[in-house]
Amino acid sequence: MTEAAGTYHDGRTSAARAVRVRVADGLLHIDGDDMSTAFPLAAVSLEPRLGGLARRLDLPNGASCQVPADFELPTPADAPARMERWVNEAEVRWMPAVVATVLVVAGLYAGIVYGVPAAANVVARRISPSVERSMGDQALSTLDRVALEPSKLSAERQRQLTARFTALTALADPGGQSVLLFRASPAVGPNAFALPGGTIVLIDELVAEAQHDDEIVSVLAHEIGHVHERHTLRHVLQTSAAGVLVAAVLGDVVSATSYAVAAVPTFLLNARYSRAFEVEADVFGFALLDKAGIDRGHFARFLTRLEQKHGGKSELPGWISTHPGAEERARAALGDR
Amino acid sequence: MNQPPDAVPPVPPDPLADGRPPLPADETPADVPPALPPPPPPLPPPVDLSPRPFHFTGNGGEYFRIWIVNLLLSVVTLGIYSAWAKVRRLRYFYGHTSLDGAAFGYHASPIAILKGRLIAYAVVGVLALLSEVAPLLASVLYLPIAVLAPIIVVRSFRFRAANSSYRGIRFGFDGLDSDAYKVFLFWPLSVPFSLGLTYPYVTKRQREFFVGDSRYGRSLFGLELPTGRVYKIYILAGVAMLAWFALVGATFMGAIAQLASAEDADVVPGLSVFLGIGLLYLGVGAIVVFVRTSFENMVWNHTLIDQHRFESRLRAGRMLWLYASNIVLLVVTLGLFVPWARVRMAQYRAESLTLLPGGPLVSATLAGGLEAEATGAELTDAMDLDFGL
Repeated sequence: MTEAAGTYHDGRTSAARAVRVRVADGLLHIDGDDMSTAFPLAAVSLEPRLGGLARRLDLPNGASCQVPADFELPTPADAPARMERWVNEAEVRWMPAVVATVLVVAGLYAGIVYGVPAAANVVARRISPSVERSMGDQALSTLDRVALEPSKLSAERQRQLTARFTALTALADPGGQSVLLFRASPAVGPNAFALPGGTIVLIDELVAEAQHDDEIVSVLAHEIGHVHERHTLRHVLQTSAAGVLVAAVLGDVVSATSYAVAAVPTFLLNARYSRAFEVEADVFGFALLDKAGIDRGHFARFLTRLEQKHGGKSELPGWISTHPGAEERARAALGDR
Repeated sequence: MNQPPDAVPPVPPDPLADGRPPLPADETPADVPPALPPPPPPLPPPVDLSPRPFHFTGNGGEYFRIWIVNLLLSVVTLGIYSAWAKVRRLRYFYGHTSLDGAAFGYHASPIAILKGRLIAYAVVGVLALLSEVAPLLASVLYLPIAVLAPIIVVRSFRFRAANSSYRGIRFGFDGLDSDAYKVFLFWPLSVPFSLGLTYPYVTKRQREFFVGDSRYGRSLFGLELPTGRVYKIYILAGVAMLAWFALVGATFMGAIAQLASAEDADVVPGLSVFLGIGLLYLGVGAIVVFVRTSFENMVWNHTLIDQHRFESRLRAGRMLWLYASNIVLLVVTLGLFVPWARVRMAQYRAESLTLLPGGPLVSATLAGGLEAEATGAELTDAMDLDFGL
């Protein structure tokens, strides 16, 4: 449409005048009750179309004219204008919106499930060991304050287990900085965990539950796997990165709401991350046990026994994590020997 | 090229004029025979002083299509298209907001926004890289950025204002960099030293800076917030916060104590504790919404432009409902509700706002030619960092 009723603003006062806008002989004519003027088409510019909104026609004298959405100038459009015309065509229909929704959701999902972990893995391996160690030290001092007590194991028993641990790390990661610490904690229960930086904390209650020292060693092998794969650091990076990604894509509705939304994928996919990590640590631990000539069956038996004893409890130790299923993991341990 | 005739602005009624035409100089009153009284002056057109409500005519479904198509294009182009997406989003919201039968306009060129974003990303990227290889140097470079922050805020606000229009007249922002340093650096520094007591005052000063230094054409906005009432909002909020913490704390104290002293590992931890923490957050969220709503109303209700005023009637309860339902729906739809959430907010804000004219609306504003050009030139190097102001 090259002729329409419009509203003229002179750009100097806020008065509005009803005018008739039309294109004729290469000129844009604007005619109203007390005005009549024309501009060369090359000197005027028309705002790109946006749904049914009226469009602004900018005139060279600082004035502007509101024209209906379907008003068009016959001049050839430049590249950005052609792009926005095409975008508008997509915006006013439902089909492209549905396709875009599917693509955005699929892309976001793939980004969170595959892209973020891959990126976190690369980043985690570049973070300097000293930074990682200081993170670990901080975590340990917090844990010591709130949940852990000094170990009640005898010095002799601690020496025995440390010797086994050192032999294991020597096989795993020559030159590795893993340190074994002993703590007691009735609240935490039979457990062991790996802190960033390589420190592994063994809880007395786990030592008490074990029927064979190789069972303890098999759990330590699993924890060394977590250290080797830098799981704690990767987990922290992944959860924050997934949040940042979602917040960046979905934009800023209200800061509070976008935080809430950003927490969703993190929350939903957390289970998946830890499951993958436990399996990774298992695989590493099994290989290490094989290298040390220790029967993987110790891990499987210990896992099954603890699962049966503590399975109904809400706070299961991390390394019996229910996600891969203790049974499944025990089978994996016994499976491919 | 033909020039259109300059529009003749309707002459505003002059309260000082008595309506009689001035006497010619060569006529002395003595020569004038006592004659008929002068004809009554032509009556000025009646000024319509009725309140003018704001309207928002956008709808969620239409905006959803715009949003999702532009989101996809932004992602596919690795963020380059996001400058165009931003312009289309703001044009949609401005264009669907109207007052007295006329909509607002957004004029920014996507290229200008893209330039600003590229600069910002480059700075962030260089800093991130530097903090990896030369952490000390990077931390030294953060200082000038922190020092420049108030200027960046002023520039981005000026960019936004200068690219907004109503009835063919642009808005503007004339805030000085020195004032920006006062309200964004100097005064905020007093907050920790006063144990937070100056915080409401700082918020007041920042708002007065943004609104008070804005203009529409040549008409200046004015804002002076009553300090006492600003403090009243924050004191009320503080009291409510303390009361809520005490109430929730007392209710769940039993549960927490029981958990702490539990010898038996069979006690299921969490549920009541989580409930308590959840209630705490909910209360804090509600109080934050109350503060924001009261503040927003107060800012509008004290804003002046020429002889016009505004009236904002946002209700905290309604805002709380909007925020809460938006959050739930955003979570349930994994964020796809974003467009509707934005539209609902814009709609409620518009329908709660009214302009109270103190005189004729149309003639009030004049835009200056030279001034407008100077601002226009400045725009090209303005950085648009979108601080969500």
